[in-house]
Amino acid sequence: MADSLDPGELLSAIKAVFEIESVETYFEVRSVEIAGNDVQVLFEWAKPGVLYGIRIEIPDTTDHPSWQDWRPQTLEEWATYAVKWKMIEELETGLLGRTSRSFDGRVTWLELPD
Amino acid sequence: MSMHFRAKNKLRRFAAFALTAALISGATLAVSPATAMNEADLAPAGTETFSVIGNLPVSADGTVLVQDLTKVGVTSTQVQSIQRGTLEPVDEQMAAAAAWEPFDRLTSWKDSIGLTVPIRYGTASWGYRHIVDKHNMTTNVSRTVTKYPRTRVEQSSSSHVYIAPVYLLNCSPIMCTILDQRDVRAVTNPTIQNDGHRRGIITTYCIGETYCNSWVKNSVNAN
Repeated sequence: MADSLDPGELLSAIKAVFEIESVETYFEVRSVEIAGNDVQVLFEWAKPGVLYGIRIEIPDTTDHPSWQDWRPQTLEEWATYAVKWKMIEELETGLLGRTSRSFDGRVTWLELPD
Repeated sequence: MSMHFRAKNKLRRFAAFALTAALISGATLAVSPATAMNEADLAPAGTETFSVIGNLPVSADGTVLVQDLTKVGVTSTQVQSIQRGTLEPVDEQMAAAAAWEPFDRLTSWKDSIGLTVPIRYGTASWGYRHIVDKHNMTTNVSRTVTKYPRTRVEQSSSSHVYIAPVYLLNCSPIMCTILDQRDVRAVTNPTIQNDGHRRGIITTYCIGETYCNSWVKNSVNAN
């Protein structure tokens, strides 16, 4: 039977893993918030002053595809891989050059591949 | 090995290198066998072109000593082949054929400090399936990057991060010139799973490109 997952606890875990410096490239996370079913991460990458945004659906139960895909043992593990390293890996392998983007006047929103 | 077979191998290696060089430089001309034959005739005699993964000592003028290749797992037999100009090309790995489950362990090895690193079959997001399908990597690239990294950082209880350079070299019997270079990152999860083993390789990729050039996975010390 699936266990429910607390979005507040997931948010705390995501914020905590982003506090660990991980890459040599300029990467500054500006905010991490829950928006509907998603976590919304605003950040600067490679060039200071340009604000990018990414939305990732957060799991509500342990049956959610994102939880099942990773089958983590802790919230920290899910946050590390389903959010943080998914973002970094895509960015380091050229996401900015290949994804669709939309600008809302402040943030350039990027689409993450499934 | 017959001279004919050796010459054919040499030509095949040079054609692969010429094609790689053309792709790197953005050239749009195809390398036909005839072109490769002409280029091969002009190639410096007694040199070998191949790639190698790991943190090699590189001199200020961008050269590497052939004898130093053993520091990143190139065998002394391979070094002798390089010096004789008879290095065999590395064949690409075949994908796993069996029907695997995500947490099935395919193999494991010791990293640069002796920590066991398994690779599991995984999913499209992590493990063997991910590195092969998305990044054109192999188990042996993951193994060599984690064994001979330039940096190894334990970022948290569930993530260890490695970076290793990969060099495309042209070597005379004594000295190698670097023709191209990539940095490859590997991320592992060292937490122990229900089966008593670590989670292992999450990802391995070339920094700067999604589908890594094949000369990376064909490195002589990744087989």
